[in-house]
Amino acid sequence: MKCVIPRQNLKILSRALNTMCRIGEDLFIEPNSSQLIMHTTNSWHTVYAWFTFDSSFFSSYYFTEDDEQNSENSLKCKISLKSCITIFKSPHLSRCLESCHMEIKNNTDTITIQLRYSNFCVKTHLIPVLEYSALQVNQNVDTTHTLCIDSKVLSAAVKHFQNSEVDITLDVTTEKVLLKTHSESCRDLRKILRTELSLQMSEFDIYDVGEGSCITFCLKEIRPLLAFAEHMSLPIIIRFSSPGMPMVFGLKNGLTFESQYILSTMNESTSSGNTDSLPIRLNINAFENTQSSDGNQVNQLPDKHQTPLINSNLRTPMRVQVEYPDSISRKRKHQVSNHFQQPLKKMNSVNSMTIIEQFREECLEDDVLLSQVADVHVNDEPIEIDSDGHLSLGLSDTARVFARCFSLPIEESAKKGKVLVYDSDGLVDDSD
Amino acid sequence: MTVHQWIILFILIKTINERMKFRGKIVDPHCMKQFYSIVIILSKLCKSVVLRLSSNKLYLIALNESNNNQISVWSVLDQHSFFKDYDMIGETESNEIFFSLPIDMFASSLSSAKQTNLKTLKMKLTDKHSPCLTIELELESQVSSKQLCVHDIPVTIILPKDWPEYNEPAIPSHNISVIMPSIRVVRHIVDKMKRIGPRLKVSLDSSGKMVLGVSNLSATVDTHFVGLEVIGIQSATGKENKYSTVVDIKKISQFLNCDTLNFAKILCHVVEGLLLHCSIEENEYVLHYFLSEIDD
Repeated sequence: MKCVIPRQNLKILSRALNTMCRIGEDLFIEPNSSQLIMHTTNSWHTVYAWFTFDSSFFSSYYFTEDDEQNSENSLKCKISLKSCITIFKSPHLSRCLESCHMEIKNNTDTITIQLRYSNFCVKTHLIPVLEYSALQVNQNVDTTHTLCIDSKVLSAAVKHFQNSEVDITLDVTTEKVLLKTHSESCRDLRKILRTELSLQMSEFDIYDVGEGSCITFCLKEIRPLLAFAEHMSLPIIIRFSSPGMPMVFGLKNGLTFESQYILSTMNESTSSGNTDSLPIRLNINAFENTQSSDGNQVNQLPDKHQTPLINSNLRTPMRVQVEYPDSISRKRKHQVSNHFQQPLKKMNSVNSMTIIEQFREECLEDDVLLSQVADVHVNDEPIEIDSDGHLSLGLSDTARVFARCFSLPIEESAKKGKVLVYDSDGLVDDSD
Repeated sequence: MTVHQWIILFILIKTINERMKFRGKIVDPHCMKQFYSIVIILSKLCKSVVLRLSSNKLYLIALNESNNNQISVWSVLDQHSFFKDYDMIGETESNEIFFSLPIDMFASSLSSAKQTNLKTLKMKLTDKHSPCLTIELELESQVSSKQLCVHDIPVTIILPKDWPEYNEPAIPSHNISVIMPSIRVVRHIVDKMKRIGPRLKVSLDSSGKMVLGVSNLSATVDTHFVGLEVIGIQSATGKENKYSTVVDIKKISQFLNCDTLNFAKILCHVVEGLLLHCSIEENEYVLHYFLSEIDD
């Protein structure tokens, strides 16, 4: 699967990812022939967040025949949400970024996300796939009541509640909706601030509640979605039935993308009794695919790196590669050759950090974008590898990398220069 | 006593308890904001506050628990300039009500006063499970209908025998009073000084100079503010016209860090070796903040 996200939609994607980041740690991606689904759940399985981007959201969306022939499961994968966020977090995102290319291949151990800048810089991120697995959630939540409200009104209403408020009760009658502090969860009523807000029926676009109902849900989990909806100025559709049954918060932007949060609600019988009133878990299962990537991953790597890689896999390292056009590299050529010949000779005695620092200084002098690029890897010094043998190995690898990246523009008259940035596993990538 | 008399007595007692009543309504947006900003200042300085209601005035009082329950904040609001409707019946013949409430809850329930669509703000004493100060906010929504937001803040009623604790503090006569320089500048400097040492020495002299000094073993830092307007000075007995006091820098910084103070005119008074007293004196309200000198 290959797709290109245009610049204006990149902000939406970034916000959506940030919204999901407040829920869970892992992002499950499921591409199919017409849409890209991203979803996550929290560790308690009480909330499930789901975003679908239609092919019209992308400027191009290829779902190759090869992908189709394979069982669709092979593209479903789980990645770390945090590493995904860092890609889009950069403050330079809006200024000179043009588009984002994403590629998911069958059973490879990484997802490729490529950011293309207006000055022809290309930044490639290889995000490791943690698992080839999919979330299976029963999305056909049985609901009888529907409310539709402008997200501005709802988020203004929710602002009346204290920030620390966890659960709130939604009491719906035939005439109005009451939002109030869930008082049963607190033992001592004399110590809490009770808030009650009433919204008239006319505030809602859709008001189909039948006899009415009274449910309690987690406000904390829904705040990020409200902020997202408010920013996109989309109305929010709330569907629910009775206490204890899951409820759904949904929003939809035409055909391009839609989102749904399925939340568990508190059971009436448990909350009125003296037992702990934990919400009921949603029925969510994570299925691991039969074509597990674990075996492949190990085989592809040299044996000696096996342990560090597995360790670093847990820390979810991300490999970043930056290509920059000749115009930038020419400017820096003479400085580079002057400054870097000495460090290259003394490579074994020089701390790798100082090289990186020097590299950064070079970049800072020249171009803001490159300094930003260099910022990415400063923390990833190869010193982190624990045993002595690995340390020197990592060091020499880095040395080679920098030797190569600085000599490239001088030796060859290639049109483009390349900088390779390595993560802590010190692996040599042969992509140049 | 006959049964009949007992019943009469019971009804009498009940009516006395039920007589206590308070209702207030603010409609002017400017008054709401001002009221909110006073509450916000207090919320930065203390955890709980005592609200004293009398027929003409509304007092917000905070005690300093760590220092002998001395009053640290004393603010008086003129009822007529804030409230459109104000209705109260007190407990004794002095016709007053005293109760304490957590200030953070008070501040967060009033935070909607910032919003522009707030129409009225009502406060009243109610009895829901426990005594509560109920705050009713009527909001105007974009659609024709109105929204109603109700906050119940649990309060503790203070019995008349404990009232003397909250009497107006006797302010010792000031040696010198000046108008504080721009609060933003002072705040910035005091925040920087906080890293140097825990004790701030505030000195004022008759020429209108304020010196803020902090020191530790290796350094002494003084900041001089000159040309301040001197409002009052005790007739100088000798040639020594400089008065100073040493206070806890964290506490003064808490006070300076209230954003709502930015536009207020703040007076600064010093009682030599005893007290630093900051006050805001407006027509509608008065706010005093007392910081006593700390020992070595």
